[in-house]
Amino acid sequence: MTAASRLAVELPGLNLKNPVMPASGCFGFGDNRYAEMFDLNELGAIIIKAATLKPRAGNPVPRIAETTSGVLNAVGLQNPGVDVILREKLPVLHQKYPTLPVVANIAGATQAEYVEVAKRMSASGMVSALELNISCPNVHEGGMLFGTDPQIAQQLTKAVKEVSQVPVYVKLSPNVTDIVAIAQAVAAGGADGLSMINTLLGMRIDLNSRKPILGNKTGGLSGPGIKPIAVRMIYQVSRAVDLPIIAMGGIESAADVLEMYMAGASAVAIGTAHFNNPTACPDIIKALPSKMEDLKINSLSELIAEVRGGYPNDD
Amino acid sequence: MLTKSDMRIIAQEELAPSIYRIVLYGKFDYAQARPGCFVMLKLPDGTYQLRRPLAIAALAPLQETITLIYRVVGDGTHLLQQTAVGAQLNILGPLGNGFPIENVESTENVLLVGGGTGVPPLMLLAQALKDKGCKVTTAIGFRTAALIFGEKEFEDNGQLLLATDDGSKGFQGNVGQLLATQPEQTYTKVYACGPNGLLQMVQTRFAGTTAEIYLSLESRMACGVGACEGCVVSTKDGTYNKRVCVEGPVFNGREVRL
Ligand SMILES: Cc1cc2nc3c(=O)[nH]c(=O)nc-3n(C[C@H](O)[C@H](O)[C@H](O)COP(=O)(O)OP(=O)(O)OC[C@H]3O[C@@H](n4cnc5c(N)ncnc54)[C@H](O)[C@@H]3O)c2cc1C
Ligand SMILES: Cc1cc2nc3c(=O)[nH]c(=O)nc-3n(C[C@H](O)[C@H](O)[C@H](O)COP(=O)(O)O)c2cc1C
Ligand code: FES
Repeated sequence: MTAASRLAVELPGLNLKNPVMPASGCFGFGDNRYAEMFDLNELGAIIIKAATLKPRAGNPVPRIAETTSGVLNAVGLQNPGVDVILREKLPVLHQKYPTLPVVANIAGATQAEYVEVAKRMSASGMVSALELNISCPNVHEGGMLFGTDPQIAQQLTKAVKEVSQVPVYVKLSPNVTDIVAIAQAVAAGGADGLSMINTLLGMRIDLNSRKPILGNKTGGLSGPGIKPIAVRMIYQVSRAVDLPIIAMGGIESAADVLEMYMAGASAVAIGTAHFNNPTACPDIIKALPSKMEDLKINSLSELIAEVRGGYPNDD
Repeated sequence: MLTKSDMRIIAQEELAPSIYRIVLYGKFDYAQARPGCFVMLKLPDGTYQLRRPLAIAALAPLQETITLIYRVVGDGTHLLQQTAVGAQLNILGPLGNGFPIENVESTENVLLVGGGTGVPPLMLLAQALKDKGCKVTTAIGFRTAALIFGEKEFEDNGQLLLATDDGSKGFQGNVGQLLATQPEQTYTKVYACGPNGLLQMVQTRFAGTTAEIYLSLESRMACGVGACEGCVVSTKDGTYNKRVCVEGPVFNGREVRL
């Protein structure tokens, strides 16, 4: 088997030469200086920053705080709005990298907003799939609310599916007691796949000012510190729901990617790791084949079949 | 070109209590680096997820070195201070727009204003402006005489006005009060870097003049390359915030909202 086909994976709407993509919010719309450091064509796909119906100014600064083995962010879905993204951001990305699959992360404060953004985004011809962000902890209306109530999550998924012209991945929040219940609900709503996990709600306090560091007070925790939570949740959900999972949460290396696969993932997204290592994605893609060799993994698609095909018998 | 490369620490010394100067040797795009640009330094311990932004204080393209000057304020800078000469540090840079100096004429009278850790980028700027032949005046403030650094560098490149809060050296008071005692002068350009209070003082003081005002801002950063929207600042022209790491760190002082 060639090195190329060993990494290829197929998910609804996403025929990927490798499973690695930058996570939403950590790579803008590809319009940042990471793009000077490697060819974005090397990526399996790219997940772009959340798009909302209207432009959003986001939260007050500071928006970033470091924690041991993690980062808290409270950006608050700052984005120029779906129309500007479709007019100015995506055409540039599409023109520069015509074969790079784009996954559009979409968010809203109401169901109607989500539906409208999904309609416009999916009709653009420039995105291969939607990632429905029902899990942002940094906005006060909508956001995570949609991801913590199974019934609301199911309704929203159904409404978005009805208008979307491309497959819909629902991005789950880890800020719930029973992630399996939410996953089952969005599956019942017709989701084509899942994406997990978004950040965990957290806070840090400045000892000198005695006040929260972040302007928004709370923020979302990401990075290697959350990886075991992601692995556990992906493991639980993949056993209960028959949908492909794009895994994220603290992935930094090829070994981390394979751990996600063994938990039940079909593809992976990399966020926080970029901040220390701007070439995290291409570095991981390059390292995967030899790590797979070490672990006697012939191809990722075989690994998916082995892990997920094995469910009926395990436990 | 933006690169990340391992650079070797060839010198590290204390300039004043808790202020250190570190010299790094190695591959770097020296030609692209300009006064006001910064680097993102990866801490030599994998539990840290964020690089630290530090301004370039000096550049020596022939010797292939860059100099950073930092104050130990927290865990990251403490670790940096503990790192021995000879160790490698991964440096991402050069980053940011830097101070606009292309159109500065040799006949111009320019003012540099700084305080605390806003002083390092002004050192490189003072030298570049002097090389252009400008008349450079630098006004910098510190808490007390023991904390002063950069005196010689600024004196070599023009006139230096010093202020200390406690009056232990130079003018007693802050830089704003120091400037108020100076005879009225027509500066064509004013460049400032330091705490927000100092930058606001510069904004107000020169608002009624014809001087171009350039302010270098700080912000908490995650990526440093315009990817995360973590470092934004708002400007008078609209709601969509500007990123300090890409559109800055230097902003037109008449547009930026502090
Ligand atoms: C463009 C730019 C240039 C800078 N140049 C210099 C310089 O030349 N010399 C110097 O001494 N300092 C400079 N700073 C500030 C310096 O980055 C912080 O003091 C440093 O990151 C603190 O790290 P720490 O781990 O010691 O502190 P901690 O407080 O433990 O840091 C925790 C987190 O907060 C961030 N942080 C804390 N304070 C600041 C701050 N003031 N600005 C930005 N991030 C902060 C850190 O990066 C880190 O992510 C600059 C900042 C920016 C944005
Ligand atoms: C600065 C920052 C901004 C983010 N913005 C978004 C966003 O707009 N939409 C979204 O669904 N997730 C967003 N996320 C979450 C990430 O996509 C990802 O789910 C999470 O960070 C876990 O992965 P990681 O540990 O690799 O970063 C953001 C994360 C960070 C650190
Ligand atoms: S630090 Fe990420 S956009 Fe500026």
